[in-house]
Amino acid sequence: MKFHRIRLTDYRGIRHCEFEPRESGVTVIEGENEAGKSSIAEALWLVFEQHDDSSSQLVKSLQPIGQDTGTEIEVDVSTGPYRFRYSKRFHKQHRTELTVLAPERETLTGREAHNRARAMLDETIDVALWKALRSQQGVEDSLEPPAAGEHPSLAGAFGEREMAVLKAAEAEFLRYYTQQGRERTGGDAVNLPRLRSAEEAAGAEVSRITARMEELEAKAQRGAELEKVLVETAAALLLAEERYAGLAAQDRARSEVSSRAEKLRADLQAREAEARKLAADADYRKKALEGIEPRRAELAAEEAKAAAQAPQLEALRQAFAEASLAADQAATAKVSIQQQAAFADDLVTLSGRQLQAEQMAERLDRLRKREPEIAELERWLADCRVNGKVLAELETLERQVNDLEVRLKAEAATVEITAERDAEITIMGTVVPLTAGQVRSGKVRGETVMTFPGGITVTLRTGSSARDVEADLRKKRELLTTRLEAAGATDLAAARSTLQERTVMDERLTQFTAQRTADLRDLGSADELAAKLDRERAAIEEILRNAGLQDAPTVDEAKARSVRLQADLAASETLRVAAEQARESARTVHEDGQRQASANAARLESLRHELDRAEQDLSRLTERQPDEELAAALTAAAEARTAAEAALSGALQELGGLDDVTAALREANIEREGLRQAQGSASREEAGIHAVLEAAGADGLHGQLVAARQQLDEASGECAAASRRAAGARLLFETLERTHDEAREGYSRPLKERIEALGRRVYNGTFEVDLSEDLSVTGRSLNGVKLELSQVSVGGREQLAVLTRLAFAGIASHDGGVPLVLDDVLGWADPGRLAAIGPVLAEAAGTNQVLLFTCSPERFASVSPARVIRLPGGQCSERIGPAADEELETVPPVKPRAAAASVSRPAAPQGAFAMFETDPAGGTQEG
Amino acid sequence: MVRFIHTSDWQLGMTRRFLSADAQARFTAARVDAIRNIGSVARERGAAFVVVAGDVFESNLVDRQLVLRALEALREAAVPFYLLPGNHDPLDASSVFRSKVFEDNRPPNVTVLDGDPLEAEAGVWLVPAPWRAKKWPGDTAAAALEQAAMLAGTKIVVAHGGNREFTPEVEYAALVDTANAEAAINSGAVQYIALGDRHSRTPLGTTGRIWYSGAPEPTEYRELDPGLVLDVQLEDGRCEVTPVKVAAWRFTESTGITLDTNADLARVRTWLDGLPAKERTILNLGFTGTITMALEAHLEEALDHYRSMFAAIERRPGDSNLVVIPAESDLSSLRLDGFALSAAQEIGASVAGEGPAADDAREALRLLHRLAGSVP
Repeated sequence: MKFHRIRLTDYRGIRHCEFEPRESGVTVIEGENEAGKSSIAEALWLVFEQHDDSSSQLVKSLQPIGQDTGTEIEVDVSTGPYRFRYSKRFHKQHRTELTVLAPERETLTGREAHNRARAMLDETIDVALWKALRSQQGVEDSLEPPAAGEHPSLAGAFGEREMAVLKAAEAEFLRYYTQQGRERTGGDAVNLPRLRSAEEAAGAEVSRITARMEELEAKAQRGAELEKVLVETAAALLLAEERYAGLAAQDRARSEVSSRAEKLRADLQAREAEARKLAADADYRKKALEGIEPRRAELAAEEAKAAAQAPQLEALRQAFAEASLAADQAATAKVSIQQQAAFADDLVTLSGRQLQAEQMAERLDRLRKREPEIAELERWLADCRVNGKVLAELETLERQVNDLEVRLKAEAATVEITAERDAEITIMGTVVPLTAGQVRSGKVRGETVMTFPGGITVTLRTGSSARDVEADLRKKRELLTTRLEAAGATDLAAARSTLQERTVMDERLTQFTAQRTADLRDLGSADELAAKLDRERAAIEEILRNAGLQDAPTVDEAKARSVRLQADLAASETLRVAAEQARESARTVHEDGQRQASANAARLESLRHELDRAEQDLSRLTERQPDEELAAALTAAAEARTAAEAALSGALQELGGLDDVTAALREANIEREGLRQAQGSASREEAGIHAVLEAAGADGLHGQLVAARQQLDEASGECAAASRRAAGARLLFETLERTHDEAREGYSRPLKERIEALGRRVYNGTFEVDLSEDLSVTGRSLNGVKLELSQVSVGGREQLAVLTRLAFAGIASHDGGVPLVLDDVLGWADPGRLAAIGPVLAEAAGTNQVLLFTCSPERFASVSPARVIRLPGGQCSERIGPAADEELETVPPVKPRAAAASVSRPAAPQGAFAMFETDPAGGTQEG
Repeated sequence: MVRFIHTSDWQLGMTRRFLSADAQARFTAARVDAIRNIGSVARERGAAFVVVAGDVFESNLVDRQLVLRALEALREAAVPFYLLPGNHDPLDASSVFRSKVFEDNRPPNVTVLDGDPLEAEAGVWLVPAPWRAKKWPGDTAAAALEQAAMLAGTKIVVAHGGNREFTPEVEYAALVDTANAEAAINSGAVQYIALGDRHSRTPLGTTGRIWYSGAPEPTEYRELDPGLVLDVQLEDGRCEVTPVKVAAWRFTESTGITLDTNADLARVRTWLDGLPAKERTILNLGFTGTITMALEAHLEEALDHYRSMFAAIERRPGDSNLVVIPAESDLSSLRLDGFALSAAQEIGASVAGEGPAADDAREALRLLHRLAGSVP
């Protein structure tokens, strides 16, 4: 897109301005502040944006203050295949005119012209991007460079309103959904799940009440059925009751007859029982009388029999007594003979026993004699304390004493004292008188203290050897003395003599002891032997006494006597056995007789008792009812029975004439009861239903249902509306987000490539930039050093901004981009950088149309080639070639309404701009 | 001569789902007030009594408070009322007429026609055919007609039920049989048959003596001649039936309103402004045309405005004759460019169709209009 010509009339402070920028490359428009540079930039956009009849504040502000005139903008434009002239007059006599020159000529006016012009732009350039570029520069930028970290966002490419709408759509979306797109369930958000559950709950309530009403209707229906049933049942019951009453009357009548017959039957039975009882009484009485006589006869016979048996029994008792005596005597005789036979046997052994007693007397005598001697020997031996061992010890001790005495003599010091004159000395406390010349000597034993006259005390001590021998000797001597005393000997010789005597004594005692042992045999002492001898002698005397003999018979006599007595004994035993048998026989016969007699006596007693009872019984009966009365009663009872039989027969006959209705009555009763139950059951059910319905009626279910339906409707409506709104919000947000992302994707790569391509011309081949999500430049990399945008110098940031805008303008359309307006950019760039960026600007503009407004012309001296237009004069000149300091070639300004002239055509500096004026104060100055 | 008021289908306690709680309360109250109106009409016209031919109450399970209010209104009306149980309030075990609240509070001028013929005036017999269950009981009028034939004097059969002539789709074996009823009239066995069930005033047959009185207050849009009671005069072989207006409420349906432009909408507004008694008027509107979203928004705005004035405004369900399409101007009025314009165009393309996707698109576009309008 290119502007070939731009004309403004009565636009803000500009009275008239018309110029032709370079179609490709930079046009530098120089002027002081307030010269109207920004107004030109604004007009280029506004002509496409605003309708000629717009009443917006912006349009109103275009009119020069105090002038009721029309503001005019006219541009010649080529874009894509189109070439057109487009003019718009605002305010007074507002109009829009469009003349399309290519590809086909057409002329439009008014709204049509406006829409067509917009359509051509929309078709050929990225209007949003151009708009974003505009909002970043020219009319709205301040001259301040971007603050660190606040580099202008290229998200403006998406449009501020558009981004605001996206934000608002997102906020709307987030009212219903989470960031992840799930339905919100808490907070201030619209809670769709809760609305749905509220709707479900309301629906459930409606269903519940509806079901309840249906249930009640069913009950009402049942109630109606029951009413019918009750009416029918009542009629049936009435009939059943009547039938029952008829049958019951019949049954009662028959029951009365039956009852009477039963009574008569009972009466007859009573009569019969009475008659039977009386007959039994009579019969009994007769039989009792008949039984008494035979019993009496029997008793008499038994008594006679008992009397005859008594003497026989006595004879039997006598015989038994006699037999018993004979048996006792035979037994006594046998015992006597048995005794004598025993005595006779003792006599046979008597002579042997007498001999034995004599031998025992001899042994006893011997024992008695030896006893004192043995006692003497034992006592001596017990007192004797010398034996072989003791003697040997004594002998050893004596030998040791002798040996020590010899050694002492040899080893003791000898003291010899010679008296010079008479003197007395004291030795060991003993005063020893010494005469002159006397010599006294002695052995020193142990310690000897001697006191000499003149107060001299001499203590003599033996040597250690002599002292030891002396002490040993003393001990041995003392031991020998002690041992001798213990042995009871005065010296060693006496001990030896005692030992010899002891040997003789031991031999004698041994001999005596052996003799005594032989005499005692198995007995312990002589006294025991003496006692045994006494017992034997007494036994012998008793045998003799029993045999009635003074002296003992011979053995043969004794044996003959024994044989004889054994024969006697056998005979007496035979006799005794026979007598015992006779006694047992008599006892048996006697006892049989006794038993017989006892049995007879008992029978007799029984007969007597029986007879007594029968007689008493009979007499009692007779007493109670004499026989005559009994007979009369019998007769009366028979007559009464006959009468009762006749009455019963009559009643039975009557009963037979009546029908039995018991079964029919039972059936009628069952039917009646069944109906009553059915009636009761139906009544109860009906009452229950009535109660339920009454209570339900009080509940106002109908009203509840209405309220519940209302609530359901509201909940459904609310839910549906919220769901609809939520779905709309989701669709809108997601679509906006997607188209936004797509747009961003569409810009991001070409933009980066374009910025870097431009930057590499300015810096070097290592230049790279980083773009953020919203297309802001966030950093740049140069010579391998990467800097965040905030780390880049102010001038560097400004340069980046310019490069970015150039890149933006380049991608805004496919055929050479869109016109780029730069308003006093690069104010902070150092001179070196400015010199470098100038050619780049010029080169970049080789494909783009760049309008560069500045109030400091010198700063852009390096931009070449370029057309330079100076405000307010409007002088127009051309810089040719890349040299910054090259002479400006002056070109003439374009003529109003003239077609775009060739840029190379020179023009007079003053011509076209003669009417160009500005009014910084906003006033209206003509001229 | 006897003169009485014939009415039916009061259906006290009836609710309309489209009414707000406040409007419903007024609607219900109006139906009770109608009782008083009917009493006034009867007194003014010298009617001896009022016959209500069925469906006095909407349901046997109506709120007992409503029953009390109705009985009070009946008492105040101060003329004899004869109430016939109909299919809405049959004389079954749950019958409101047998409820304690009714029996305890029934004023002396109110009689329930629960079966046997009843001499309302000397020589004037009411022969009722009450419903005894919700289930269709057969041609109850037939039995009443037979009963009436056995009586002497002026005989008025009071019955409730549909008729094949009007409800052919109903498969009931016998509703009120026209031929039978006419035969009874023609034979002189019955002098008048007071019917209930239809809410529109309707004669049955050609005798001029068999009438559905219609409901005293309208209940639906398509009822013919509702809101009336019948003033019946029987005298010497003559029968005069005069309809008398008692209704306070109105159901108005207009389903063919053309709506394409703002001017059409202005006409609708003028028409609505001109309707009387708005607070007692229930409207059902249906539009035909193709409108932009902006116009649709204006329509909704207008209807919201009128909803606060009318008892209710319903829209014909699924108003498919009104097509909302996003016009170019709709999108240009958004003043959006770039991706946002693309999104708007994409959504706008889905709006024209039907179904959930189109609904969502319309909703999304509405939202976009709102959001774009709020961004400067």
